[in-house]
Amino acid sequence: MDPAEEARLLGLARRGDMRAFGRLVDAHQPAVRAFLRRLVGSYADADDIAQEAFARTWEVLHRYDGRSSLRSFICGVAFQYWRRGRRADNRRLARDTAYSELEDSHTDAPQNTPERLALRRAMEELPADQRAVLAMCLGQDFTHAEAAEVLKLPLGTVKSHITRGRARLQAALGLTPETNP
Amino acid sequence: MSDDLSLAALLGEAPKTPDPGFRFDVLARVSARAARREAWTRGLMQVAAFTALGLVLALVQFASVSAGAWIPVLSAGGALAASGVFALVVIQGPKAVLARARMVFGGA
Repeated sequence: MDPAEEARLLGLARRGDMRAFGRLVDAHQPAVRAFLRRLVGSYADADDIAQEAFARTWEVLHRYDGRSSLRSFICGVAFQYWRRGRRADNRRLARDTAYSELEDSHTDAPQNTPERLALRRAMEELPADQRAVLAMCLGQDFTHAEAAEVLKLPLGTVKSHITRGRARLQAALGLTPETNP
Repeated sequence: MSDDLSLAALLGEAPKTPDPGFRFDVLARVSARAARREAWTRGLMQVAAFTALGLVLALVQFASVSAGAWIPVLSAGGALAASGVFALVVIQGPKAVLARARMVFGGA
């Protein structure tokens, strides 16, 4: 979306225009949902968190100061939601089997099932910050600087998280980083 | 398979196009959250008002003031309230008063 148009819609949304906010939701939902799908694994849970994050963003739009992109701001809200909810979900997730999680997560795209399962397991073993950095940056939806802004991490930490996380994911697929072209 | 985009695609894919249903759900949640917040505020106001009323009655009883002694005060208060309502009707019109009354008593 054109920055000037986004600024105009943001101004309208801050004054209570739901139609303008709806257009901002349309503009940013693909990136936010992709980030959360990679982070959470379950598409349904990811979309649920994304909707809550957008709804919360509406309430705190006045706090957005324009120093980062609006997309980063919304992802920051979503990340906080995920991290809070994750603590509560840990006990529930422990009871689930890997197969049922896989079935729930990837009903839209059943191809490459073993690889997806291996990657999902590897992601769940990573620390929360590292996992979030990979979810943001692997798909090239967000720059390293944006990820640092959203996750409140130093840029160097983001870069090392990506390097180490990528190696862990590649190892989960039976690849070594050295085989990477 | 080993490049970042392939890894990202295996972890989860972005929706191809913005989903109007998603937007609708977000706006529904916004409305639901606003309604919940208003209900909380209204509930707190009602609790505060009735607590204050109960406190006043308890203090009156504690001070051993007879009910008859309050009749002039209550009469004056009623006259002031009626004047206030009349002033609002004159200034804002009857619909504004009705809307205000519905907002105050509608959630009770």
